[in-house]
This record gives sequence, C-alpha cells and structure tokens, in this order.
Amino acid sequence: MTRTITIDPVTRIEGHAKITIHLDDGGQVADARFHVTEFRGFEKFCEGRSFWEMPGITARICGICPVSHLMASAKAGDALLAVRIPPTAAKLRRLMNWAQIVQSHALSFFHLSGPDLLLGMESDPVKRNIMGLIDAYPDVARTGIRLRKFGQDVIRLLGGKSIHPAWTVPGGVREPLSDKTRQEIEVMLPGAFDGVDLAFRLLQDVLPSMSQEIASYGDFPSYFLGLVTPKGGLEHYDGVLRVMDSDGRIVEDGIAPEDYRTIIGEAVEPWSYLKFPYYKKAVSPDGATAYRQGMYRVGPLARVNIASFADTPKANAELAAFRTLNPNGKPVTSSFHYHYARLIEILFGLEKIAELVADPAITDNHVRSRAEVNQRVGVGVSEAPRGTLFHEYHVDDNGILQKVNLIIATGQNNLAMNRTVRQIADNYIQNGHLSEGILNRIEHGIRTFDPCLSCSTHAVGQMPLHVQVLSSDGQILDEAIK
Amino acid sequence: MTVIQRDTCSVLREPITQHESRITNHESPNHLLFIAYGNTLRRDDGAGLALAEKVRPLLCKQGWLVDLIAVQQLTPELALEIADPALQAVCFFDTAAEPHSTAIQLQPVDAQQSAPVLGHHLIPSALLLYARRLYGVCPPAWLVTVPGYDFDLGEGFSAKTAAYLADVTAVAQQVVRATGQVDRD
Repeated sequence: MTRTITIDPVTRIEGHAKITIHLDDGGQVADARFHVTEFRGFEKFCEGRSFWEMPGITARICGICPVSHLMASAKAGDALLAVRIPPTAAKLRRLMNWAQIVQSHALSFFHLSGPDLLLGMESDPVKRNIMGLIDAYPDVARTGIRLRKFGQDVIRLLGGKSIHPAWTVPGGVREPLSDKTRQEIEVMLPGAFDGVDLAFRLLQDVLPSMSQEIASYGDFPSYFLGLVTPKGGLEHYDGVLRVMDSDGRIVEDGIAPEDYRTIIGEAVEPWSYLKFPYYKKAVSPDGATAYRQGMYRVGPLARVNIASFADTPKANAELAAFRTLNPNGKPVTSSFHYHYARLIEILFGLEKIAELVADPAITDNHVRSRAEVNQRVGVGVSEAPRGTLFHEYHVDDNGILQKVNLIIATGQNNLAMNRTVRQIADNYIQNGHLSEGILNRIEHGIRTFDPCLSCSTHAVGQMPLHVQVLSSDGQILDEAIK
Repeated sequence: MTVIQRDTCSVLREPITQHESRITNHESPNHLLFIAYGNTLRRDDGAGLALAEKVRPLLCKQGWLVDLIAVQQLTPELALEIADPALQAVCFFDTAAEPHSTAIQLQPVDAQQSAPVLGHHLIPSALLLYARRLYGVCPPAWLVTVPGYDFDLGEGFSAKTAAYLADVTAVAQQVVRATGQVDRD
C-alpha cells in the first residue's frame, strides 16, 4: 500500500502550497508533487474593464512584485495604442524595474534563504530562522533590510508609493524624474553596492560546503527561457525571447514577445491551481503528460544562463565566474544556483541604476506618448524577479477588455519545482523516514525558485486545505478538510 | 458603498534614506506612526487602510504628528520605520476576518516572543520583534482592526464594514487615550 507524506504549509514562500510525496510499496519515492491550493480568477475579473486601468489593477494581484505587473501591463497598453514611448520613459521604467529586482532578490537571499544558507540546512530548527540569523549574523540581517529598502525607496521616489505605484501607464510614465530625486537615488547607491558585496562574500563562503545540495536541489536538464537584448545581453525589461537547452544550444532566438504563443503552451493538472507552461516545440502530442518534455525554467538562473554577456563591468565579471561552474558553454543546471544568479542580477541592477541616474537625459520632461486604441490585441512582456511575465489583452474599439491572459513566472517554473521536490526526496528520504531536516531541504528546494503563488494563481483568498491519502489503486484512505 | 480611491492609498511619509542614524526633524511629544495594510482590490481587506486615512486627520487637527504608511502587507524593512526613536507609538490598521466581531477593536501588541515564520510578509508582533532585535528600539504598539466579511475580488466594502467606517471619531479618541498615556523607554 502506498503512503503519502504531506508537508503543509510550505513556509517562507509567498502564498499557500502543500507538497505530497508518494511512496511505493517498498517505501521508496514514487512521485512528488508541489500543489498550489489557491484559486485562480483574476483574469476573469479584469474582463469588462478598461485597459487603462490594468496597470493599477494588476499591480494589486499581490504586494510582492507589483512593479513587474506594472511593466508588463503598461507594455501591453503601449501595444494597444501602437505607440513608441519616449526614450526617457523607457529609461525610467527600466530604473523602476531594476529597483524591483534589487529589493525582491535581497529579501529572497538575506531573509528567506539566509537562515538555511548560513545556519545550515539541518541545524536546530528552533534557531534556523530569521531570529537565529539576527542573533548569529546581525549585520547580515541589517544589510538585507538596507538593500531591500534601497529598492523600495527608489520605487517610492519614482512612483510616489512603493506598493502600488500608478506612475507607469500605457504610453510611458506619468511624471518625469526631478533632479532632486535623481540625486537622492545617487546618494543611496554606495550603501547598496556594499550590501551586494557582502552577499557575494557570504555565498562564496558557504558554496564549498553545499556540494551535496548543489547536486540534488533541482540539478537536471531543462530548457531555459527569458528575454535578452537584441545582441544577446542580460535583459529585464525589453528585448526578444531566447530559449536554451541544457547543452547550451540556443534553440529559439529573436522571438518577438508578441509571438510567445508560438513557443509556449499551457497545460493543467487536476491537483494544482497552478498552470504548467511548457516549451511547445519539445513536445510531441503522444500522451497526456507529454508536455513535461517541454519543461523550462525562468528567472535569475535562466536569465544568466541564456545571456551571452552582461553589459556592465562588475556583473559581467561575476557572470564569467558563474560560467566556470559548468564550463564549455553549458548552462548551470542546479536550481540551487538561483541564489548565485540573484546576486549577479542585484549587482547588474545596481550598476544599471547608477548608469541611468548619471544619464543627463533621465530628467527629460517628455515621458508620455498619447494615442487612442489602434490595435485590438496587445502583448506586454518583461522580466519579473522570478522570471518572464506575459500580459496579453484583447480589447474592443473602446479599449474594454474582452479577454486577458497572464503567464506568471512561478507558473513557468512549476514543472521544474515539481522535479526539484522529486529529486530532493529521492536523495534524502530512505524507507519513508522523514526528519525535520529533510522537510526543510524540500522546502528550501522550492524556495530556490522564490515562488510567488499569489501572482501565479491570481489568488482570490486562501482556499480551504484539502488533503487526501490515496492507495495505489486510487482509493481514498484518509481525507481532511480544514 | 464606500469606494477607496487608489490615490488615497498612498505613502504619506517621506522615505527614510539614512537608516540607522536617522534623526527626525519633526520630533514631537505626540508623534505616531500608522501602518495600515491590506489589499484594496479585495473589498473589506482594504478597510484598515480606509480607517487609518480617516483617523489620521482627526488626530492631526488636535496637533498630533501622524505619519501614515499604507502597504499591501507587512515586510521586514518596515522595522526601520518602527525603530525611529522619535515615535511615541505605532498603530497598525488591519481588517479582522472575524464574522462575530461587532466593533472596531484596539488592542496592544507586544513583540512576538518566538521567531516568526517568515514568508514575504510579517505580522505586527514579528515586525516589532525585528525592530527590537535589529535596532534596539520597540515603541509601544496597538493593532486597530475593522471587522470584515467580504474578501472577494472587487473594490468597495460590504455594508456592515462600510457602517463601521462611517464615523470614526470614537476610534480616534481611543487611539488618543491609548497612545497618549504611554511612556517611552
């Protein structure tokens, strides 16, 4: 008879999820699933509203990455207007987007994953938490807060508010950047660079002791997808789509963002509200689960893998060092290295912010192009901290939304997160024995992706928990609803 | 039905850029920080934000200095704001999803004794613990909650929650009474 081990809830991620590990008759892992138990309904809610409202509305899906939704939504709006936004507006949007990358990655690295990395995966669970981190490494905890606050402050200085800035609009941005604000950002930068320097030192200190985790926390072949600049550089706001396979071959390049459907399909499973996007061209239609062959990863690891270079000096040097983890032009395949990739992106973001605030054009007053609806369909794509974010809007002549499709980063990592859980379970669970340390390893495997489930399921409140224990023939042995 | 205008959900406080060494220019014996949180797109979940925005001007009229930070959820860096030594007290404003509540509640909050389970967001007591452990400062704090009943997607409040928000004079008086009597360490 099979056993099912349930870990519920998964902590230190955004939203609510549970994990089930299905054991076979011999007590070995037969399957592992990362379930998302929150309900999806946001896209439907948007129908009937004006596309002009969408940046503000989608930014309220959750409080974690509102800026990312602002970017993708405003870009979809640009496409509906069929305008080219003023160059300064594009720079200001980039500035805000990089601030978002910095603050989000800082929280993930220092506070969500820091306790595991610095105190040990199987250290005393009473101390392996943020307070334990504060006790042992108070400067690290404070640095994490400072770096996150830097990003939040830049967002707030630009948008007037850090959580739901309505400053990004179809056609550009609402307000130009004043020289006073530009200087305020400039003054904050040195402290932020100090913060990421500390993070790199910490990571280099812990990596040698993490070889087992690196090998088992989601180290498997997959495709990697994301935006790159037209020349192939690291990109977070615009550019073209690129897909790389696990041998380093670029299998798709220069794909216009609006053509994303030519390479991405979406599958569903009855046991999760999260959709399962996949790389279409890897899949032959020979079975219900064939889409899994098209598993791809997005987010920091994917972005640094697919980028041919980073066009800032410090980040490019770190990228070169990162490449040595898997030489000969192959991508780094362990999901554990999402942590490393995040730090490269923080550094890149800070360098780009420094570059932008030093640009005299950044305070130009022309920041918005104005037009009416000129296209019935608009697609906006940008890179959120967790990966590529797609907004597709269909409107009528009055700009009223008829259909909305959002493809969220966490959803695109869904297959890889399931595979990661399976790999960790395979490596650490023996004969059904499950220690607290192993539970934490599994949770950390999920946390490497820094999933944001509120976004990816467009949650409408937390659904009741529903847990089932199934026998090998599908009989419900036990069931709990709370 | 009350509708929250998006532009009222703003951060009314200047961001702090020089963190640990911040010296406020507006020290006042009655300097409060309001931190209001919730999602204004999930109906009653935004009631705490609306309440804070209504109470703040009533206190300002009485000469109090009240900073308001409105956020969707509590995050670690707010510890820096709480650790401002110039603050007399902190009031958190939230919606309570308790169908049996019959009034706006004001209750003291202490720093959480044990480590918070950290996601991307925190609870008030955990945030106070952050402020104390990281910066050695933890002002007296209260949690003000509005009963909420409808958390579906949408703007505006349920009729019952809207009724609680119709007249908040008594709430303002409660805040004055509670926070006006505290002594800072």
